[in-house]
Amino acid sequence: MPNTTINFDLPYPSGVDRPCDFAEQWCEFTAAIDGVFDTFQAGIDRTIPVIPMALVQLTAPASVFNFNPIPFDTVLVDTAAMVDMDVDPFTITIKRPGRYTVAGGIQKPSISSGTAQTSIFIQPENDAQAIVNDIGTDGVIVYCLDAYKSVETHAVGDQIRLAYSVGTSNFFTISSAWLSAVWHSDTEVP
Amino acid sequence: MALSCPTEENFAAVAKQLHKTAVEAEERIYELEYQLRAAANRPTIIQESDTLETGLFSGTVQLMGPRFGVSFLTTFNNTLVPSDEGVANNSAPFPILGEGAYEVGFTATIVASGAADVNSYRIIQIQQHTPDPSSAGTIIAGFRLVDAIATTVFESGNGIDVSIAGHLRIKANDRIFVTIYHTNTSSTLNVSIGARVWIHKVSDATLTAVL
Repeated sequence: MPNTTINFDLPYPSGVDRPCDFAEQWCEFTAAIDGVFDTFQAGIDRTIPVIPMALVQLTAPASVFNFNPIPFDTVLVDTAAMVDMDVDPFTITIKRPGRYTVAGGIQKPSISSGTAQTSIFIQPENDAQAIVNDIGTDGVIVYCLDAYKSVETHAVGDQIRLAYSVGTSNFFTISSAWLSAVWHSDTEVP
Repeated sequence: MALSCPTEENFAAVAKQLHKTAVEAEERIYELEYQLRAAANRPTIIQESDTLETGLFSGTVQLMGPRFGVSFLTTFNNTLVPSDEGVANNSAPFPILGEGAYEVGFTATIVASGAADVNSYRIIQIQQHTPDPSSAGTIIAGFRLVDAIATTVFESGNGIDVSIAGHLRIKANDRIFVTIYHTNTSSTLNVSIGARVWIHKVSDATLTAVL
């Protein structure tokens, strides 16, 4: 069976093939189609019903040094072993390369006095994602800062963390926090 | 399921065999197509307000978003949830949508109905509540707050535009509420027509992903 189709390499007989080879030819053909179906199914299985994603929370107040990663204590979703809370409670580690939506948030009591510009950052880029002016009411106001980065491109091993800054090198209380990384596409050219 | 191929005893029935193979192939193509369509059309509901929401007073957490008494139109719904059901507390979409990881978002323009207190603040939350018969409930009895996506915005004197989104792990019978707490004591707040809330299922939450 010397002939094959262009795209999926499916074999078919030529006009000079012996008819008595029909069974073999048929089996080669159906086996090749099975192989194509299996390839399609493998691609689909990477997309539905589950995709690589992690969602972690800090559920109890924690004292965190300014601009250091926030430690999380609860894993709500982890479909690809992206979180190891025992070894590294700060980090979501990317396991499949691609484009991700990365989001997070903190709730933080106001500083005791004065004013400060409070920001949150998603690492590794460390670009400020939310900023609020803390007017120093000594905890009367709880500031909620949220971040939503709709598209980021990540490689295997990239480490996603959440940090905050009030511009003062000290420990501050974080009431609660969350961080998520959700894969939504590969980076190949279709 | 592997496609079958002929053996010596059915050489005389090539047409029949071809038909069988075609039916089997079609069955597999149908399964693949169904899954591709599902992957490309994840369950999503988008709702948008078509009336001015008024009377949000200061000093207490109050509901915004789809709920009784405020008109929200469903502008997109590719789920089995009836189109007149809300994202929030007047229905139970999540038993139908299924447990999983969801993106939930809310956008709105919020303005004072009278005097705007400059530097007063608003805390907007997308709250997730789960059934708890022992709970008196901060929103409705029998439900306990388990998670929230929140943002704090200060008033400049001209109203605020708020956009908030994040991810929640939602379980059957959970409810989503959009709430506001504010300190604008000089007047109540209004939510302008066009406030939008959406939920979008991004993944099953318990299975392991194929890398």
